[in-house]
Amino acid sequence: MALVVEEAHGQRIAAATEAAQLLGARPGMRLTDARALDPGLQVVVADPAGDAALLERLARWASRWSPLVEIDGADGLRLDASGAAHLFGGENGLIADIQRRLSSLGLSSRVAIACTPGAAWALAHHGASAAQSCPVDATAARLAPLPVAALRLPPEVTRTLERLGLKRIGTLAGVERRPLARRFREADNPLDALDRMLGRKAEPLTAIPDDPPPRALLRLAEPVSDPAAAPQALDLLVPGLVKQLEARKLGARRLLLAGYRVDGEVAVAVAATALATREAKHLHRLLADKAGTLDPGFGFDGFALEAAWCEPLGAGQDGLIGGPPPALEVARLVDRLSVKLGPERVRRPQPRASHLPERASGWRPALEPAAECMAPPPTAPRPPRMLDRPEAIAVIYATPEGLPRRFVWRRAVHDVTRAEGPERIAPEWWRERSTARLRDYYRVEDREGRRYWIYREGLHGDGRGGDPVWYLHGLFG
Amino acid sequence: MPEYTGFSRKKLVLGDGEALPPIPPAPFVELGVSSPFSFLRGASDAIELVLTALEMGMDSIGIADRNTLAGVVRLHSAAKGAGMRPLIGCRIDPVDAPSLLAYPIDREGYGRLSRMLSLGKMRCEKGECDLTLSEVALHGEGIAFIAMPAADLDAFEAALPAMAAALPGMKHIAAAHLYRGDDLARIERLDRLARAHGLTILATNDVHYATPDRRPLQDVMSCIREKVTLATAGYRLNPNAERHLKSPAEMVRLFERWPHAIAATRAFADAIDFSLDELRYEYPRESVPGGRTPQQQLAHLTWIGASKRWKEGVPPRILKQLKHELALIEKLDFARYFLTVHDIVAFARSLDPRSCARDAAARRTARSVIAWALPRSTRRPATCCSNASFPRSGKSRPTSTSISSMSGARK
Repeated sequence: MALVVEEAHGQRIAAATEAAQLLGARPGMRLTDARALDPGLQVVVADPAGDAALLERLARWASRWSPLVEIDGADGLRLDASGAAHLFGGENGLIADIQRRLSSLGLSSRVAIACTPGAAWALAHHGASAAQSCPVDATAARLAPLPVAALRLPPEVTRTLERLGLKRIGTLAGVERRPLARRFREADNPLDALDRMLGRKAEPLTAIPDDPPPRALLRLAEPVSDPAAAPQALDLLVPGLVKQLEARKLGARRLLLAGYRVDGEVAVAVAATALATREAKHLHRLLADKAGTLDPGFGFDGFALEAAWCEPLGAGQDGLIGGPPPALEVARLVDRLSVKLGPERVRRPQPRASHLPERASGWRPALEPAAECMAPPPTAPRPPRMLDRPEAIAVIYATPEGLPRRFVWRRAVHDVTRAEGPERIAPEWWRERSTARLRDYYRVEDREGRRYWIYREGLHGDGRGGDPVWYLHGLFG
Repeated sequence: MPEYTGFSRKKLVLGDGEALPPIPPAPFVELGVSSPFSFLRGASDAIELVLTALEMGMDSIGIADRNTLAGVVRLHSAAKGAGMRPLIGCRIDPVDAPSLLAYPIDREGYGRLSRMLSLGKMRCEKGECDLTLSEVALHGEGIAFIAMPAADLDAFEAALPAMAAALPGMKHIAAAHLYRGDDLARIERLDRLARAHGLTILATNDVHYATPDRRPLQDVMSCIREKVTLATAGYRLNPNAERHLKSPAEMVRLFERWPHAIAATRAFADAIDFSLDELRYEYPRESVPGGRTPQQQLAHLTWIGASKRWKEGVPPRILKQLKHELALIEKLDFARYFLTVHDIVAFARSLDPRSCARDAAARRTARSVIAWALPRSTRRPATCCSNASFPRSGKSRPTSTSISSMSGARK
């Protein structure tokens, strides 16, 4: 049986069972080639994402043996066993425990303990036995018979080494350093790899990140089924959470109040904020209503308040002339409205880069950060009030492209005393139909001094419809 | 990837090679034209521009690519092919002043403009040009300038006094209908500004493409230039498709209030007395010592070289061939080319005695006995034994020989 991955040039074997390897299938081979050697080859599509997720779960699980676990490539884990092995009866005991537990999960494994991560990797991948622990003084001797591929260099470097006749680590270690250093100058050079392997150069492990979010806990001696319990618990929890946020210089963007019920269920209330904050009063206010609606069931025996999403927040100062800055006030209003009405119902205007006036602005959920938008070029001013839908008007004007003289809007006649324009805006050809017409915008003022923003859609003889049509699009002042 | 084959430079020939009837002068001449040599800005090639202009009844057309004269040859040949008069210029973007259209008035002005561009380009990366207003002024004699205001008129107004003082050859300010809603006020302001500095406004449409249907192409090119997609380009694109060639009648209508702006284009074009036809390759004069003509110098060097090569006397057949070739070179007035290549080879030999002329043109001329006699090529010329192929080809196709050797001499 073999696992295959889909590639640009057909399916390629990612891994093969021993039985399949005996019949000629090799990892990296094309599936068609392997099928030619062994027509009975069974194929399953590989799931790299699933494998990676499994490896990560395994890494967390492996922290039972060592506090420092690192995921290594697609199929390896590295554990820092120093000071941990004696808990399992020495290094051999640790290896036996690892092998036993992994095989009970149905995984086959190769385990090696050595004084450096590089040496352990080499022994685990290329060593003679499936499990070995290598004493410090025997490292060089144990590594010597391994192929240079065990140095874990890029394939081309390995190939160069093999072409030079340096097929074993022992041979390489015997060569004088200077000529080697002259030949391999890249970052991944065999000398460095060898040094790392033998502990002459440091290679620290990076542990899987483990940074629990700020969280305040409250355990109750007796389960309470009173609905008022949750708001009361909130009173107690918020100061604790705020203290943690302060210590870590964080501000909460999303809060999670969890009530643990005696029957094993968890009731959760969530609130989000538009600006990172750690103000106790504000946080309390956001969650207070929702906390009251948590269903106690048979009773809560514990509460947790967690800042599930935090952002760095330094200490800020309020405005000098009393009261918080207006932006903060707006953010708090947005938070309260979002909690009451639902986050998708509170929106803020968002400028967009488009020459078409009705496309130059849109809406975004208020809790989302504002998108970057380039500043519009200096053009004729836009009216402060735009109609949602331009209204057709009848206009008397000097054809073909003269200024408007008089127009009728909502059955009222307006004599144009002043006009300025046109500002010509062509359709966005990449998203509109080919029959879309350009617009000539004019600013006009009627006899009463009222100013309007009107446009003529199309030109005479532009081949996109009949006579141009006039619309009123906005009002000035 | 499929290779694009069959590519050849298009040539515009109208009227089957007969002399085209002269086009009556139009009231308006477009001077602010960008061709594709304004990289990723101009969206119509020279032939398209010329054909559109011809259809509109224009008799002349300018070319002003950004910081380059690279596109002038195409426009020149296309305009000549259509019977129009090409006006050769370029658009200069000084680092410390608004843009300028620069049109050389005469041959010397063209030389200075080329030198100015070389100066600006040699000090920065390919495709860029770094010139200051004072450098433009230094090379500005014999060039007519037109100030090209950008969208921000306040900045332009602030920079104009310095420009007018630095460039006495600047008599015009370009005015264009941008269709941004304030054209009337804008052009009126430019007109006032021009008067205040003793200048005139000059109508142009800042042409980037021949016809409005080229706008999509120009938008895509702008996106490539700015490295954005169409959906995210936003205000980087032009709001409309007005940057195309407009007919003289249309321009006269647009500039109804400012007839002097239209008249200025005609006067500007008529004042230009330069054509690319005036350019000839000029060989360096240093290769000929004083008191001799180039032909005498070549004969002198040839006989010295021949006597060195054939120590026991030049064989009669070679003697005849040499005389024949010298006569031919005299007839074609070609001696300077041989002397220049001789100079180059002599210089190369002084650096490395083994080097010999290996470039294409030298290979061609190496077939001449003269090349053999002058210590240039170490290869024995074919003409020694057979009949001269060089002189024959020279006789039948003198122009082609001269062109190919010119390209070699530039190396």
